[in-house]
Amino acid sequence: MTKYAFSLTSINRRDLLGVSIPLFAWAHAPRALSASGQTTEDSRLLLVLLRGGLDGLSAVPPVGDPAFSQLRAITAFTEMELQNNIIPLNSEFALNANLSRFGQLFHQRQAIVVHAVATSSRNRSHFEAQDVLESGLPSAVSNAASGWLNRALQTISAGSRVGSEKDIRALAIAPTMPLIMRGSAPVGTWQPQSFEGADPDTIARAISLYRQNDQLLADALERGVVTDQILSRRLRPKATTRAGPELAEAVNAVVSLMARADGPRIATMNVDGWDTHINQGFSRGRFGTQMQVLDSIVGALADGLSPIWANTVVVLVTEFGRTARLNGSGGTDHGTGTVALLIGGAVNGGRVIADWPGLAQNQLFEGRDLTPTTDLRSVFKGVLHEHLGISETKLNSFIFPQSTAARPLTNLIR
Amino acid sequence: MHVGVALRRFGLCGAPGDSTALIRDPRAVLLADLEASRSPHPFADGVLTTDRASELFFAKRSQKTISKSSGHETFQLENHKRIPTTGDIHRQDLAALNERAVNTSRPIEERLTIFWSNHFTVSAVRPQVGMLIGVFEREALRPNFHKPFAELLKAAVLHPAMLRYLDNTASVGTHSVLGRGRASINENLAREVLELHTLGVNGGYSQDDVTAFACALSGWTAGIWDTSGQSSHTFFNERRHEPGRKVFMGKEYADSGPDQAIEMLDDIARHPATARHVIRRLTTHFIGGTVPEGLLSRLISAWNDTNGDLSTVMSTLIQSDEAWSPTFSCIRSPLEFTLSTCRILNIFLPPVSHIHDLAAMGQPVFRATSPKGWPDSDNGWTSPDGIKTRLDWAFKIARTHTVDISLLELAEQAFGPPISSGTRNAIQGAASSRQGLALLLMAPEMQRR
Repeated sequence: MTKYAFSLTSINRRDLLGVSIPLFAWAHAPRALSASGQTTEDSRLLLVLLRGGLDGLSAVPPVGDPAFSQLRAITAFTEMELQNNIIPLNSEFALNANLSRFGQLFHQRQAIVVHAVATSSRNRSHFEAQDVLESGLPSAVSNAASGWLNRALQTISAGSRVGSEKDIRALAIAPTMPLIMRGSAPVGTWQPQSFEGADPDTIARAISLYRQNDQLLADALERGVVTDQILSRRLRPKATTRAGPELAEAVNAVVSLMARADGPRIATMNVDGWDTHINQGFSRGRFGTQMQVLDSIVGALADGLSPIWANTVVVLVTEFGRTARLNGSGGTDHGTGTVALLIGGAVNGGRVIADWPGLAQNQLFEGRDLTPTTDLRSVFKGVLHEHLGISETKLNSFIFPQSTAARPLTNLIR
Repeated sequence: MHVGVALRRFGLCGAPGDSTALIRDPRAVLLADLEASRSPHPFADGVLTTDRASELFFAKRSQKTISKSSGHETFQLENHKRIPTTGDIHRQDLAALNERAVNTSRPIEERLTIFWSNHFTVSAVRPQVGMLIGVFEREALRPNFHKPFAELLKAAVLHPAMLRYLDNTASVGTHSVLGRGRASINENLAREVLELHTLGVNGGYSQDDVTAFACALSGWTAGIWDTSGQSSHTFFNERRHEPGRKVFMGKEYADSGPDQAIEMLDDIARHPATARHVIRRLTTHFIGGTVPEGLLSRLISAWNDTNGDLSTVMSTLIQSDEAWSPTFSCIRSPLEFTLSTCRILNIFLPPVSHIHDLAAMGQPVFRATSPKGWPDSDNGWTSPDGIKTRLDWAFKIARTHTVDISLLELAEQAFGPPISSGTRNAIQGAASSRQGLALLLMAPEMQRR
């Protein structure tokens, strides 16, 4: 899509701009981070938010559970789909065959499936479940002030595994700041842009105008300027994906930036389109296409991040799963338990982690959904503790308040 | 200062002459504008309607040229030989909003349209709704947002765009004629109506209530893309409806077919949680910050006294002292920013670039990512990339548009006197008129309302 292409003029202009304006935005960053000097060795964490509610039973079907085929193999066609279009993982679980690259990573011990997970939200609302997932609070509050990933950033201090102070340490690939990244630690947002920007003098005057009586706009504009400067250099689409042009741009940005020595250490991006109420299919249909998109993103990340792959963890999560049965429209409605996926060279992979609750009628949550047995916060806490070295005390008290019962999963990271 | 409040908080900043009209009694002018907009300003011939959208669909499907037989010859697009796409319709709808923002004598009507379009979000993210976003705004919202909330609610929820967007057109009752014990209902519309449009997420309803409401709504559908010759408008298909009595929020509803959902919608509209939720959202949109409890309870009384009459609620808000506080805490959305720019400069943006630029600023117009719509809190629009892009856009606009009065006069026209010293100094000290105009467009007076 040419509309999101980067023009050479805008790159040159922004390079020039870098000379006249210092990287002031990160003066707000926490002090006391030491430069490691070996920046490709810093830990990288990418969180991919699969918004809309991914059907975990179609992504990682529990083929060893006899109740599964009764729930899903309800026609000759779906029965054939479920027999022929899967990749076995172990005696209990298989992958949707469209996740072939993920399957390769799994067999290379670089991928983990955590099954029957959910946030602590139980009312099947996209917005409440996403709020709970992103805020890291035990239940939804309206207008939560900060997200758990931002609070995690706030705790990272000297000698950390996330890089030096002058780096952009965190970035949300999104038009507006997602809740998970909101908070006092500085985070950039970014999306591709096509038209030429304001000149450095006008930028400086606008910032100075805001500094007089609108600090919020001043901070936002400064950070936007710095992010633009850094991200606009030599950003060229590399990966090809099954995703649409905007999602492909987002993946390319993540790959181009995170692999850089001075790129962000922590990032989030969104993959929408999981709210499959109608004709979702399995290897075909809307869900099948979504699986292809997701697998192409997995491949683009594994290839594009190869220079830093050994230090990288990618966590792919969704706000809730879907009903165990198909609805009358061949789709699934909002449910509860689902999967979380981890990939990366730092992942201690090749495992499905599940305290499997079963799919018999009396085992379903409220008689309709996969019963969650693992709190999604346990996954996040395990990753933050083992990958970024954040203490359990901080995890339990500050980053995920009132979450002591959700013990961190262990041995997720090599 | 009250002129500025009227221009910024309740309008789209000032066009030439606005400020003069407001100067004597801004409150009375706003109330008169509100009253006048009870009869919506008609749109120019050619904007899309439900009927026309249906025709276009069939024309596209059969790859034939558009029928000229139905009196729609005035339908205007750049290329008359091509069947319009969803993109064409979006450009046309955005151009209509631009035209209205520039020419209207009662900008509060446009602001209410923006608010209600967001409260009742329908989005082209679902392809089957693609062409109907502007249609929904013109048919369901504009004629009804001065009436009792129940009327607006029923018009919005039962419009083809909403029935499509939230999957009610796919909902089939298990025990309906078509369900034959195998199909099941789709809860999407029922849940979002309760959570977003009416009671709010803590409004006291349970999963059983969602299911009961969804069962009552089943059968309400629209055949706009249907080749069976059914009406393109909303209709009730008994064969899809889950029959039987329902218990919803503790009350029993008789097996009254189409009326069952209507009765529930009327009761939902009357529920105290709905008044609170809707008034809080409306008030936050206009005055921002945390809504003072005193104001909230006065507005709720106004609602209760008039059976939820939205015009009365708005006029009570305009008459309140809180509405005239000179603290402007809400950042405008990108759409409000570009439309306000059009109004103060009297310009028409090419819709192709307008749509593109809004997406770059973080608001892909007509394509909200979820039924929750766009952020509508004080600081919902402060992403660094978004604000930086606003500046880049303002700089672009300032290159191609000049003004024939001084920039300080323009600032007073747009924001009302007095202009803050910071903005005044920035404009006066600008190195070029282009820079000055860009700074005027980025001034806190323009960005906040």
